[in-house]
Amino acid sequence: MTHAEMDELYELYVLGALEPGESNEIDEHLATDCAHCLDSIRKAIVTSTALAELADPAQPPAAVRERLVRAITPPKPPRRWSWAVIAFAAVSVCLLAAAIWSNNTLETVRERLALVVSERDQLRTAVEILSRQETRAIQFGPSTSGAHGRILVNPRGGFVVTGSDLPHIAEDRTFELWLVPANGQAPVPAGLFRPDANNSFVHVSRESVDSTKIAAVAVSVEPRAGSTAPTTKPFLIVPLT
Amino acid sequence: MVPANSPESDLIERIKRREPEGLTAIYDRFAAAAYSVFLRITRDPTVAEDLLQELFFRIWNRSRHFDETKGALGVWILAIARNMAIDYVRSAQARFTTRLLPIDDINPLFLSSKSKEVEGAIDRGVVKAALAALNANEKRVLEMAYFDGLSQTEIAAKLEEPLGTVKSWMRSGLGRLRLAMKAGAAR
Repeated sequence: MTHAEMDELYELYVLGALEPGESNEIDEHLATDCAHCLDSIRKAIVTSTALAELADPAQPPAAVRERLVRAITPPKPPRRWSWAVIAFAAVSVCLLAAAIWSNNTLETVRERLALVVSERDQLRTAVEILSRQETRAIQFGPSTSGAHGRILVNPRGGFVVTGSDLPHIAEDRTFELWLVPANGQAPVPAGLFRPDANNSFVHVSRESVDSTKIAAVAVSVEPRAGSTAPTTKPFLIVPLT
Repeated sequence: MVPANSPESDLIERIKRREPEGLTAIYDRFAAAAYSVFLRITRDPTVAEDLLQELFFRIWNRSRHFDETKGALGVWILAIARNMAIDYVRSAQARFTTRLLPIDDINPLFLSSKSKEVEGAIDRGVVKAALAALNANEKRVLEMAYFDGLSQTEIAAKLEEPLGTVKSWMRSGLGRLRLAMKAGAAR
């Protein structure tokens, strides 16, 4: 194709409206870093973006802005004790009191504190993954089971899976996450989880997921202790490419 | 408090300095347009809200790559919004027939200090007039390409029209829009 012919196609190219043969030809040309065509692509994006004006005007709910402001506003500097420390201490004391009251055994206290510490560590890992530049978000669902959510993958530092509307499972069962290798080898176990009272879940893993080697993330229903290979057909398979 | 008419370059400088007021000012300027695109493509207000929030986190997290001299923030925001929404719908429908320009390919075209300056600020009056001048067929095929992410072949099949006719509508519609925007930018 000549430059003049390609210039006529760039808006269609950025819209994704061309057929694969035409797109591939343009891809190959752009790979040569042709300055004329990169400039044409920029102009085509500007022109095609004008089509956004065809959408009926709508206002997002104020709550979205409020959530955004809360998330990006740094916490106020601590006075003597930070509120986070006070809150953590208060929660720990309450848990301690509750544990002593309910069971009065040191073992129960230890277990509950270990749970709090584990949840705090998971939260820290999730925040680390979410805040990294190269973290990629992949939406999934609603699948045939109704499950939907999002996978946030950091190629070097782990992944977070959040979702809701999972299928109902018996008390002696759990959900198990699998990493499905691209080379066709058996799925690798990547953790167990059960949904909360609202049928939602957050699963955090520090395991590295290289999307050139891992084709998909899958979820199946397994015995409570988990399995080394899926014993039921995964009800959710999310491609990472 | 950021004045409502602050230039885009001021807002970009503010978010590069990690000032939340910079991002809220950008939100106030562009969120409604991005949300309208999300809502039109996903047809689901909850999903549109989630995507809107994700988009603005992305802007916040990528702010250090922005170049305040380019004046193309609005174009970038809407281009990324469309890709995010179509990716979401395709992922929900497991439909991957056409290929969008990857977001990572759009970024350097608008954000990098190496990129050329473009006529980034879209004159909405010019665009509205140009879109209003499209005939019904041109408008319909451009909507199907932009909001549904369909290829020309898919549009032809859906409308049960010859592919050549659909191509002709697409090209004439885009040609009119291109010319109108060029004339608007020259004024």
